[in-house]
Amino acid sequence: MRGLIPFYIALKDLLVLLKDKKALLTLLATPLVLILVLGSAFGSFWSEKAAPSPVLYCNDDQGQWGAFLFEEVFALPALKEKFTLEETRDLESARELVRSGKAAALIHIPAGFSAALLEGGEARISVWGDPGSSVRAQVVRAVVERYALELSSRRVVYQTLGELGLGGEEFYPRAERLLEALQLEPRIEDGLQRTAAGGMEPEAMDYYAAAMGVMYLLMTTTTMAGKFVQERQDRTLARMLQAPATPRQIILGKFMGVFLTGALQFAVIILASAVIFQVSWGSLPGVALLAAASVCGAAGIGMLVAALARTPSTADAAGLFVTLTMSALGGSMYPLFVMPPLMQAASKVTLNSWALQGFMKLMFAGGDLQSVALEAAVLAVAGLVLCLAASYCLRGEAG
Amino acid sequence: MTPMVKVSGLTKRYKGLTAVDGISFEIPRGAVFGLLGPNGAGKSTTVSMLSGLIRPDAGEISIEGLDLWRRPLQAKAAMGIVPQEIALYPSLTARENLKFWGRLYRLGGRELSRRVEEVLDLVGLRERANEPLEKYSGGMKRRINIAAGLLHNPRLLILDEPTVGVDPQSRRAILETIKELNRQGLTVLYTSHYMEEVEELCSLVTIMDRGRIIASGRVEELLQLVMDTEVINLEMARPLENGALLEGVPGVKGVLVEENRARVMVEESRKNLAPVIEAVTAGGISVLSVVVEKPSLEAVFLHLTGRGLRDGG
Ligand SMILES: Nc1ncnc2c1ncn2[C@@H]1O[C@H](COP(=O)(O)OP(=O)(O)O)[C@@H](O)[C@H]1O
Ligand SMILES: [Mg+2]
Repeated sequence: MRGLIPFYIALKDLLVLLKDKKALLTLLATPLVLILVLGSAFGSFWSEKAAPSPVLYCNDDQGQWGAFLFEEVFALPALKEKFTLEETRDLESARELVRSGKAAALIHIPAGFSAALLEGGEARISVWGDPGSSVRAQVVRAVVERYALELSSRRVVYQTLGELGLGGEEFYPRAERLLEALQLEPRIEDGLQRTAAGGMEPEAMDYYAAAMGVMYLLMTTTTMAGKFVQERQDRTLARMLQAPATPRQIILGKFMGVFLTGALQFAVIILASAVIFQVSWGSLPGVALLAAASVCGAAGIGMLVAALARTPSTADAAGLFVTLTMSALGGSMYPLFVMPPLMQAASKVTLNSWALQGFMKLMFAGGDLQSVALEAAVLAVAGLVLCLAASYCLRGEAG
Repeated sequence: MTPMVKVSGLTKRYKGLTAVDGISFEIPRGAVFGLLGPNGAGKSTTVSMLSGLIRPDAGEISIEGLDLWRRPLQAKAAMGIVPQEIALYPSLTARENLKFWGRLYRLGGRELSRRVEEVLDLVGLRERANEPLEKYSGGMKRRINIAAGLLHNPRLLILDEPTVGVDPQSRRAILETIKELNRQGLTVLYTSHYMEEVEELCSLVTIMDRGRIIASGRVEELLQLVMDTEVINLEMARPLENGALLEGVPGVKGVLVEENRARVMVEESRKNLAPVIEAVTAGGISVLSVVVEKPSLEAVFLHLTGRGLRDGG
């Protein structure tokens, strides 16, 4: 029975929240209404339908892999439809065009790219996005990233063949046959198709579903922080400490309660927005991973508020302050990609920014589990560190 | 047989204040032990230390011979705690509350359900057990507060002022419940600032004031201290500004003024009642009623401290 004590405490916290009609309304109904309102009101950020800015490219490579990107990949129907490619020779002025927003992105493939790929040197493709780093630029970047990923798997094959002494006349045909045998060929197409189709016309609704989801996730975990402090004030926490349970079990139970409530709330927002507003969140494993990591991060913030606040009203005020500041700075209110670069850099300290960056990859750039690994890791580690800090602050609770 | 509770040299200091100042006592098994004292005497602090909630600055506590701070889980499992505050979840029903607290005391499954129903019967609230506590009266909440401390069949029940803010009917029910549980063998530590309750309930009494024990023993022994002293309760037309009017009246040992009332401790009231009333009337205050109390623990406290129990320090 003893090992289950944290679990019972978490369940009790969930039950208490479920009985709080006012909190439920705030945490579940409000974000859905806001998704609808903001999604409709700010749709203009996304309506780039009138004369979309071109994607510039500069190919200094003489080999086949540079040209392949522009002649084959960007010629795929899904991409061709959406992007007008324009070749340029003048990198400087092209970059200026991108900077001023007249071009969506600039792709540069340096001289010797294909050769480097074959010989094992440094092979790099550069992508510049416009200052707002618009969704279109992100899609271009995602396409190029995926192309690079495919090329690097080829490179392994080439290298292996080279090391086996299978170079010479027969090299290319052999390599291609091997690649075909490994079924790498269709994956290029398939992967790029998905990437491109992922969301060429990103819906404001989608963005705000993620934005409000994350904001209200913070609201939930900080509300739980308020309830934690309330429990200290109402002496029920003291009563738990008088029971035959260790302080550690009780703190763990409270942590689990915050995590569980956050997870449940976020899951409801994701499902409800998908069903009601047809929001496409993207790859399921990716969404699950990123959502779990976001909940972990938000739980950490909630626990720290609970550990530091002395009264329920300070906890609520601090929770609201943290939620609103992080949301404003981190893109939950005003989209990240229309923020000036300085703000974008500053937003990196917010939970919202990391989570939204990940969700945008999943929603608009066809990202999957791997593409959000960094964001998920940052969020999860931050959450764990904050929880540890909170439990350090709470260690004196029993005496 | 080892006593249920043994406390020695227990001390707790807060900034600039010693809330509990080196107290020692023993509670034999089967006793109802009363801890009597005005607000701020240090009763709740003592209970918090006994229940393992706060660490004493000095002193030792053993429960059934086990050192509380060395074997906290075992010692805590032997105790049922009824805190001074109603430490329950107001939005949950009585049954949900009891289930949660029962689980914390390691009950589960059928045993938990059975005990929940048993304690609900014991405090007479089974019919309303599915209502959230916020709909309960103060007295009903108090009864659930007690029930939650009884779920795991503790061998020692600690109640901290369980009748504060309770209607007379609930108070009676609570006192009868405690008596019945004690008859079944439960050892009880009962704190209160109501001397009537302690007199009725407790076989042993310890009186605390300002963190220290000022008297302890069986109720009859303590009453011996004031055997020759009685309390005259006077009700007057207007307040007695101070006790000076009664200074020098033969037999008067102390006066406690509470608005229009005064409590006068005298020796041999039969002989000295008349001079007391005369002295008040002579001061131009008419006396509306006079009641002479039997010796009580309140008189003991008055005798030992010169103050009343209820107006604290
Ligand atoms: N956490 C605390 N911090 C500072 N002083 C406290 C604290 N708890 C109690 N006290 C003080 O200790 C004294 C004893 O309090 P308490 O044990 O609650 O008395 P009682 O229960 O007999 O009314 C009081 O003066 C009270 O103000
Ligand atoms: Mg008290």
